[in-house]
Amino acid sequence: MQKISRGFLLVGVVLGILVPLIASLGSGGVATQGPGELVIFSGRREPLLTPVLELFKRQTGVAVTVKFGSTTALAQEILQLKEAGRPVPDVFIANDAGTLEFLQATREAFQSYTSPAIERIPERFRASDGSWLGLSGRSRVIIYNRDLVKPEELPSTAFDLIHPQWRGKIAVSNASDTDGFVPWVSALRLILGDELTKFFLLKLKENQITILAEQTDIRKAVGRGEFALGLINHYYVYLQRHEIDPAVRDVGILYHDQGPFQLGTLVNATGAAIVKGATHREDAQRFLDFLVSPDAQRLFAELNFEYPLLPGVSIHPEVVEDLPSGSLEAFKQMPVSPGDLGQELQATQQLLEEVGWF
Amino acid sequence: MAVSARPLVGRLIARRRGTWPWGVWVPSALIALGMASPLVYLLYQGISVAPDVWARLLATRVPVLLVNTLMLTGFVTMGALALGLLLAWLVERTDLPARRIFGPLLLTPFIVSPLVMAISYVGFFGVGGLLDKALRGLGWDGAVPSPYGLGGTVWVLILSTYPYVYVLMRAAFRGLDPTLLDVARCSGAGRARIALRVTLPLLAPALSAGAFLVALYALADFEVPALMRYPTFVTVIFQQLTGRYDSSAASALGTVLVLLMILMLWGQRELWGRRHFVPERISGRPWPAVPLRNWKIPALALIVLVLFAGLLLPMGILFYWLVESWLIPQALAVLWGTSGRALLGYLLNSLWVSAAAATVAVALSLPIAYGSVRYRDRLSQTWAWLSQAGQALPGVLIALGLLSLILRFLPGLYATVWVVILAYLVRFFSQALQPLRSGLAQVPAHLEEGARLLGQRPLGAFRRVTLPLLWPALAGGWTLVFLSALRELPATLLLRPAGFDTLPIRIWTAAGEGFYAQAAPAALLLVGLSIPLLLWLHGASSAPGSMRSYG
Repeated sequence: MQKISRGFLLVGVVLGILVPLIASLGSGGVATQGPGELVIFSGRREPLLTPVLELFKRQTGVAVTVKFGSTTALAQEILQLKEAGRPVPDVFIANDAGTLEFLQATREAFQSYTSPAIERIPERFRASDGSWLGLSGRSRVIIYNRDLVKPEELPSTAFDLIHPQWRGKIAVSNASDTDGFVPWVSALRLILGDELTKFFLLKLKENQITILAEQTDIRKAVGRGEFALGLINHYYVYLQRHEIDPAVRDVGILYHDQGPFQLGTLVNATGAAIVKGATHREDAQRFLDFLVSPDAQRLFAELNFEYPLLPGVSIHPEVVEDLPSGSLEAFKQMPVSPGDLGQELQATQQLLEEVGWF
Repeated sequence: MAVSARPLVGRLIARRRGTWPWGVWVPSALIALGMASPLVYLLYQGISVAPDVWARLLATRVPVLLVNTLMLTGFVTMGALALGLLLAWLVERTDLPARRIFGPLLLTPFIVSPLVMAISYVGFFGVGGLLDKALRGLGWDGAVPSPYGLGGTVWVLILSTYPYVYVLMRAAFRGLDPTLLDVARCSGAGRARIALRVTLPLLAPALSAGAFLVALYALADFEVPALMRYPTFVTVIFQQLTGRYDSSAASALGTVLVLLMILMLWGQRELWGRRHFVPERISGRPWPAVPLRNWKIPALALIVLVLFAGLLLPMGILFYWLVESWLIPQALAVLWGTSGRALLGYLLNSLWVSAAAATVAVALSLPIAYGSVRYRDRLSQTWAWLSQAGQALPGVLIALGLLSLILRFLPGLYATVWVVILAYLVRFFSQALQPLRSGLAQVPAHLEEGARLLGQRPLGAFRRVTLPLLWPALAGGWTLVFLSALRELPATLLLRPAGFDTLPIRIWTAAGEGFYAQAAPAALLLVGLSIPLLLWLHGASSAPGSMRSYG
């Protein structure tokens, strides 16, 4: 009998050694980072960021390793890597600057950096303590299916969406959509207060609004005619217009709440930050400077139809065409900054939870 | 099969040491505690969630989710039970034409995994989907029935779970002794009375086992409700885990879900677990077939409908997408130009992770199975019971429990493939253990004792006598774990290291972006891999008494 047990123990020991060995062979990611290699976690999509990184490598010769994923998941991973005492990435690129502000305010996740290049970015799109930096701007708009809605039928304000004529015809995203719907609700809360915002959200739910997981789902569903309207970030409209299938391209864009006594459009930003404990600090700083250089800013504008935040770099012509009054400065914007929104992230998600936004 | 309560080997040891069989006991205890640790840690975290978070959740989310989840579970269970029972009855007890062909064919929806079935339904019935396009092409302008919501979720889950019930019920029907029918008839019972008083009680254990399997499945499933936009506990916990920085709400909701699952496990045991109707002997005489007469056509129509909805439609859609992706050049470029080789990578990832999990699971289940079958004392039963805790943990919760444990105690493992394997191991351990236990119970202890008396050492006796007889059970358990791991999505999604994609992950990602055509090759590969394994399991299960444990 001791022999049997010895056999089992032997099997256990062998497996205990073999499996982690195999496992460590299979696992890639951050563990494989070489010396002198900048490690980036990116919550921005691969097709968008890859050309930017190529350009950075060509200009500086710095090698880069990137991990792509959702902004929240990567942020969680950075926090967990810290907790586990493992190496953290050098730079975190988020699709929502507010998330960076939130992480800095609650966990002090980043280190400050500023430079003449960075100071050219408008102040409201930078952290007050220099811990993060806005990269590109985006507006909250309504996407509509041109087959289903005529421009004259469109609502002028988002608050019209609670009317029965839109019952069951609107798509929005859920409480995890931290670069789209969540900051907009934060902005509503900051301007209108919790009670009114909650009332509005409940009314939307009563009007059988459909809550989808991501904004990509929204643009696709509106494109194929499943919904007449969707609440979305502006560049998704242009991404939908460039779909392969011509049948789903016919979508329009509406900058709502532009009239007198209306709230205005929310202009939010993506951002980047240097992680506290980064091993390649100088390269990380060079990378941040590069991200606000005209070349990189132009790529954001051209590839993803976003607003470059560096003054002097022009917005994509297709986007300018739809902009109310033709320029970023001239249309009515909500008086909130990404930093303000980040401070509200958790409270907004809690409010959405209370409303049952899932 | 008589297994003496304390066979000779055990008694010899006990007498010599006057104590426990430590060699089996210690590994068993360690393994069982390891397997139960994610569950225990999860419950501990759930209890330590702040009271105000609990209060908020109980007031807002929990009631809605409870109703949603229970409705889904209830409908799926009832539907799968009704369908599985009816089909098994038609195949086993009636004069249905071609029932020998339909018998095995009705198992085939099993090869289409729920994930694959769900994306094919969404792609077919969705707005702008295949059906919509085809109908518009024909000039019809009406609405297509929506695949989303409770209806679609229930439909897909019934189609993917009724085979469990069907398999169990067929075995149960075969086990019925026709002489019981004669006795009942002689005593003057009518047909309805016989069905109610004789047949139903005899089928009850199998029915309850089937219902229980299906209900656990529906309660834990992530991919179908997630794809079909129906919020349940599991999908909302997943959302919380991926979209929030504070996992306390996820822990709290997870605790409620785990309690629900434990309640079900307990209920099943209390209600039916102790009732066993074991026929003394089965007379060789076949049960008289019930003539279907005019019902033949509806019965055949039902079977054709099930096969169409559960197999032909999803497979047809996958092949359509595959062809489409070959015909449309842009899609082709995306699919094969950049990811033709990548697909092979996902396949290999899937294969080796699943194989590793299956191998470790089978190896670790040996001492526990041995202890709980050969020494039927309370402690080894406890280890066997504890080690199956993963059964009560949906993939999402395994991920949550393991992640917290690892961050706290083994940070070096964080974001490695090892964690994914651990998750599979915990989740599917019972699938390795149960076949092994029933296999071991069928190997008489006397054989080992005989070998011992002939001079073999204990290990030698085990290796040369027991192990060869155990191979079918070991292989069965291995295949089950492998198959389940191959299809696992939520835990893999949450725990995998950067860039480690498996086939289900690729299907999920492609479907999430609406690129159904890109999901097709991975989905077909997954289905293709399942076919030989399930065929093998089905073949192995023809041996009496084995399939019950595989359910």
